[in-house]
Amino acid sequence: MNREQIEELAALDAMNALDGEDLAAWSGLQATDPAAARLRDELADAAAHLSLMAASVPVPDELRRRIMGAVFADGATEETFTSEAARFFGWSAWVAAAIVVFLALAGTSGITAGKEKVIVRDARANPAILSEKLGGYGDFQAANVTVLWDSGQRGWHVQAVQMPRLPGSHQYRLWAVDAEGTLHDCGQAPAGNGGNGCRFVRPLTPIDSMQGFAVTIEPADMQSPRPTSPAVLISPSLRRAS
Amino acid sequence: MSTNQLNDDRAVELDLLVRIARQDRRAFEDLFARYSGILYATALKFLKDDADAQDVVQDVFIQIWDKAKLYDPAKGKPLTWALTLTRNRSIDRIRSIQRRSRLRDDFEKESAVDESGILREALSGVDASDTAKILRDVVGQLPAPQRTVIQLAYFEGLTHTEIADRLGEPLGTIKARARRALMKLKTSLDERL
Repeated sequence: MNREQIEELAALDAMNALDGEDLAAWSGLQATDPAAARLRDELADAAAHLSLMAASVPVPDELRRRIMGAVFADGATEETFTSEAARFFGWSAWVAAAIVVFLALAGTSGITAGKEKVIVRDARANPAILSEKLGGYGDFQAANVTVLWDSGQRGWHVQAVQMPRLPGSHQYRLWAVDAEGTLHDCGQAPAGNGGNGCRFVRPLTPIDSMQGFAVTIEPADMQSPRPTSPAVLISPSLRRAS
Repeated sequence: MSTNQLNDDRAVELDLLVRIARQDRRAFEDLFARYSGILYATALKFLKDDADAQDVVQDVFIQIWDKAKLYDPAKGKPLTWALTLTRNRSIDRIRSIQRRSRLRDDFEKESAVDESGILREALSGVDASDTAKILRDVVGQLPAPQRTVIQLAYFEGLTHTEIADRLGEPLGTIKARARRALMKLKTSLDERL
């Protein structure tokens, strides 16, 4: 392989654009020719600069909180739930159920106050239920949103299917509804291209106890801490209550 | 932006990554303040969907926190490493959307036009840093066929055989254009940044 051919394959690999026989040939060459591998890295570095043509866009506060929350998810009480075993839903359900039994037996407000936070992190009305399927009204009857508790990350995986497409001026918003009926903003609900999507969310404010979830349609530049429109999808428990 | 300033930035960012590898929270917050805006803008450029872009940025920062110890300075600068993570995750998501979505046809139609899409938008941007202005100047001076290969390979994630099929050009022509474009980009950046 001459110098020009090496540069061609290095340039394409720098953009992850190699396939087929050329990819196989290049992989073999890189393993035996440090200069070729170095050229590829240099070209990849140059290619990455192409992204810098985009003007920087400030990150929404909510995204910053979400990232910091995901990265720095720890603390003394939380350690119980960040162990590998607690990452399994079955195990976390057992733990949550055991805590509920323990609290019922203990029956003292002092202990309850201390342990309530653990239950708060589970944030399910019934610890035996790991997921909730939200039902829709009207145009949203075909839509399907499932909320799945993740004890390891102390939040919920939200999967949306067949959500009607919204104009760019609006977004879907997920709310956690506590025992008093107060709605807590959990961020933007997923609805990518095709109305399907999945994302991880957590409440932006602490929740003492849970009833269920609701999804509303809000302006894209939403500023309000409360919903500005009726729910289009809600938990079955809330539907029964209403 | 002077060369000294850039070198200072690289040294600071390298130090931040070393500290992040030791799980230093303050270092992570500092790096987040430096990188989040450009990584978010990059993801938005690729995906054109705010929710998807936010998910990608979140994944990238979690990856930086978890994998900082694997960062190899010999393979590139900290910022370009983070940009590459963002680009690759964005391309993965685009491919996933293409597979699942009925919008595939629309996407391909958009991509089929010579010099369409992200690169043209980027070249016509009005507000930009000094680095962005230099890049626009350099990329703007590339011949249109070379810019098209960059658009399709870097920004849309097509392989060289897919590009050849898309453009109806011989594979050898695509390889030569990719080589000339990236070698020119590298040389210009070495001289000016």
